[in-house]
This record gives sequence, structure tokens and C-alpha cells, in this order.
Amino acid sequence: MKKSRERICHNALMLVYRDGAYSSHALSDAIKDDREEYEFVTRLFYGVLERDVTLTYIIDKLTKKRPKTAVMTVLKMGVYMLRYMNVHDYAAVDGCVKLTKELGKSGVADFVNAVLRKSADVKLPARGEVSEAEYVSVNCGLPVWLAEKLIGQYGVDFVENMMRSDEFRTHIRLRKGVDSGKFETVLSKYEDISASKTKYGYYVTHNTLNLLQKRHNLSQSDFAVQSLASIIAAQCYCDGLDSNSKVLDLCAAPGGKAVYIAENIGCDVCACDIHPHRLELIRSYAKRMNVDINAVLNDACVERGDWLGYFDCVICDVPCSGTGDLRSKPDILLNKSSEKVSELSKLQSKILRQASRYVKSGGKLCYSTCSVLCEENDEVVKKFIEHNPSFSITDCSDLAVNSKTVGEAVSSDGFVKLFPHTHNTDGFFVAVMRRD
Amino acid sequence: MATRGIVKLGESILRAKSREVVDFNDKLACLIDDMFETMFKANGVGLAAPQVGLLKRVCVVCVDGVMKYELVNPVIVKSSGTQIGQEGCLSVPDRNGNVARPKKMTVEAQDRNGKKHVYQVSDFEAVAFSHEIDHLDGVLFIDKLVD
Repeated sequence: MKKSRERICHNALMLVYRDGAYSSHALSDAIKDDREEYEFVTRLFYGVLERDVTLTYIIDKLTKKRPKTAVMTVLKMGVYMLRYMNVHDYAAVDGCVKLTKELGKSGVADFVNAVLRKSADVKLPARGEVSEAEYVSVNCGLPVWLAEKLIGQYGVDFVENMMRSDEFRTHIRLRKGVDSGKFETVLSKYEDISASKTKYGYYVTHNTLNLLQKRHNLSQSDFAVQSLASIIAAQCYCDGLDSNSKVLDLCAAPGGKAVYIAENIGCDVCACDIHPHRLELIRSYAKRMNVDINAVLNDACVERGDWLGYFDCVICDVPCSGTGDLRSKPDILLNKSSEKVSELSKLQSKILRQASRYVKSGGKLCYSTCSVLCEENDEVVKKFIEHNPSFSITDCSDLAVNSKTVGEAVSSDGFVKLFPHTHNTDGFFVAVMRRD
Repeated sequence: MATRGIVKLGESILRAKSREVVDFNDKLACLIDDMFETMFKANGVGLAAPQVGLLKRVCVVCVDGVMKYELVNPVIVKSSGTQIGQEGCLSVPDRNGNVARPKKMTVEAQDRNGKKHVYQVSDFEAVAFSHEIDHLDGVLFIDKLVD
């Protein structure tokens, strides 16, 4: 006998909520070989994670004491199906009640039934009824601390628009030397490419991507899946480099940007990461793309004497809160807090300081994150410049990148700041500095 | 341990009656271990021997991921009540349907060593037990669908 699809989804969610697993791993672990229910389970799974704050708010309104994780997860799934999915109300409730029994918790089946039936009556707070932070938090599914920070930086409207923008497509870029005309003919069978073409490639649905890889004799080396934000960042890094330049990427895994530079500039790229298994990701990606990259195990915070003042360009695409990338990884918020962001920002400063010592005189130092928080972006860079007068910020609008997207995204202080709703990319930050 | 292939609807073996197990040997133990592994890998909560191509009265059930039941020569000695719930079967891809099952059951079965046990099961466990024991008599859930 088979597990019900609700049960499979519940298993996956428990791996995230209870065991702190990464969402993509949890999902593939729970689905196993079962492809039948893939679509339903995936939709519900990511939906619940994305709307976690909103769902918790609704359930808290209806229960005196918050139930334990297993039952709470059933309720979240139920409320999500009722509110956001095209499932008949009775089927959603029935499925969750059965699931509760299946989990051996028959005692709370009536409770689950009652909460779900009442959940339609709960209204989300309107603007003005509650504090701005709570309004944004509940309506956009952000934790309160993050909502507060973002509102402080950008204002309510900006944050709301940013969180509401929906882009469920993947960006692919053509590799150097691939005939774009031929590629477009293939692509136009599936997509209205005129609507989704960018300067660097195309936005395609995940479905099209699968078809491209399976049906057409396009190998993985004809195109690469790379977010537009990542390409724009790599473009900024590339500016002013030539085939004799020596480039160091300190936090390189999985290697997208390093490969882009090696492919387009043809220079020596040394790509580092602190974890051996992540290093393997860089190597296998470079191999698949047929590009030579020197992958080295290195802790970005520990000094390496032989690298001091050696590189023309040092890149620190530092670990960050990932708040620019919430749409594709909704679980990153579950275990983050304001304190964790402060810790990260310290680590980022440390990496940037260390990176600066590897830059040769006249060389470039690049700093980027996929965060939209000032604390991890502007503040880190400005603090660094204050303490290191031999470095100065290069205004990114002066770069020879020659891209409209980049042009519009450059802030008054010369940084590239990308946002989901204005640039149709992930949220991203790039700063370029030069050593005197 | 190894996973075994799962027989799909259309094969006559799913419709045949299984024979009682008389030899409690290593082969049986191996079969039971394989059946558990096959079931877990396929996201199942129960599996019967005919589903892996053997006409033996053996089935395995594990509903909550903890309590693993191995049922050799199972017999339903008592059942009461009814419950209707949606079911799917690893041998019947892409189909789900509502089936009426007993609410509570008392099942007598042997383990891999031939030792007798009596299990009292209810709710979803009763559904899974009933579903798997049906397999041993060539009955599938699609024969018992209700509206």
C-alpha cells in the first residue's frame, strides 16, 4: 500500500522543521522514486515554507496553545491548501484529518478538523490596523525582525512590491561560440522568447529546460544555467581584465562566476572554498563546461603568505543571509535571526579584510552578496574603506559593462544593487574597489 | 539486503492465491528484509510477497516509520466497525480510490522464526493490514472501490 501524497509532503516538511534539513534535500529524500505525486508534493512543500509566517499567524489566531511540530505541520499544509491551492475545501480538510490519523494522532483529528474549518474566517491584518512591521511580516511571509530591518531601509511599499514579484523561471545563458540563431529556433518552440530574452540569455521555465536537455542535441556545454544577477556580478568582476590577469575567487562554490570569468576572459582563475565537498562542485562544474579552473581548498579567513599582493582581481562573493534569494530558497529564513545576520556581517568583514591583502597594487577587489540588507552590504564595504585608505570605491556605472540593467541598478554611492521587482533578477549587491 | 522489482497491474500473479509458508529458513528472512527495503524505497507503507513476484503468504507493514510488522501466514481473527479512506497501491500506478475497511482488527501472524503473535490494530494501521492481507488472496483495492 502506498503513502498518501499528503503524507509524503508531511515527511518532507518534518525533515525541514524538525531536523533542519535543506529544503531541496528534504524534498528529494521524501519523494524517493515516487514520481507520481511529484507536482502536488513540490507545490505544497515549497508553498508552506514560503508562507510559513502567514500560516503560523492564522493558526495562532485559532489555537490557545501552539500544537507540537507534527500537528502544526499538518495544520500549515491544510491552511495552505485551503487558501492558496486549487483543492476543494472538503478534500483539503479530509486529507489533513486522514493524515493526522495516519500519523497515529487520532486523538487530535477533531481538533485539526475544527481549526481548518474555521481558518477561512481569519482575515490577514490590513495596512494601518497593525504596526507596519507586522503588516508586512504577515502579508509577505517575512519574520518580524527582517520586516523591520527592510522597512527601515526601503519603506513599506518597496518591500511589499519586492516580496510580491513572482518569477518562477530560470535564466540560462548561451556559452561562447554557440550559434544563437539556431538556439532561438529550438527555444521558440516552447517559449515566447521575445518576451523573455535578456542581454545575456533567456528566461525559461523549468519544464523547457528539461526538454532542452533531453530532446535536442544541445549538450550541457552549449548553455549554462546561471541567474542573471550572477552574470551581472561576473560582468562587473571581468571589467578591465585580460587573458594575462590572475584572478582569485575566495568563496567560489559552486563555481558559476569563476567559470564565467575563465570562459569569457580566458585568464587564470583560482577558485577556493572552505569545504572539500563544495570544491568538488566547482571541479565538476568546470569540467562539464570544459573550462580550466584551479580549485583550491582554502579558508578565506586564514592568511596564505604566497598569495599576498599577487592577484589582479580578488573576488569575495561572501556567505550571506540570502535575503535576496528568498523566492528560490524559502527555508533560509527559518533558522535565521537578527543576531545571525550580525554574526554574518562580522565574518563578511573578516573575509573582505583578508581578501584585500591578496590584491596587487592597482588591482581590483570585488565584494558581492545575494542579500538586500545594508548591514551585509554597504556597511561592510564602507567600514572597510574607512580602515583601509589605500582602497577606493570604483563607481560601477563607469565600468565598461555596457548593460542597461547594470546602469539602472547602480546606486548613488557606486554600488550595483539589484532587486527582484525592479530588475527581474534575484536581490544582489556588488561593490568594486581598487587598490592604489 | 536488496530491493526487488514491484509487479504491476496486469500480471496474473497479482490475482493468484498465495500459499502458506511452511519453511522458516534464511530465504524467508532474506525475503522479509528485501520487502522492507523495497517498500521504504518506493514510499510505501505496506507490501505483500505477490507484489515482488512470490506467491507466499508474507507481507510487511510499517505505517509510522517506527513499528515494523512482518506478517507470515496472517489470519484476521476478529474485525469490527468500518472506515472509508483513500488508498493507493504500489502495484497499481496512477490510481487512487476510496475503500471501506474495518475500523479495528485482531490479526494472528507468525514472524520470520515461526513464532506466533497477536496484533490489535486500528485506524490507518487496520487499513494497511487489510490491504496487504487482501493481496495474499489476489484481491486488489480497485475491486473494492466505493463512491
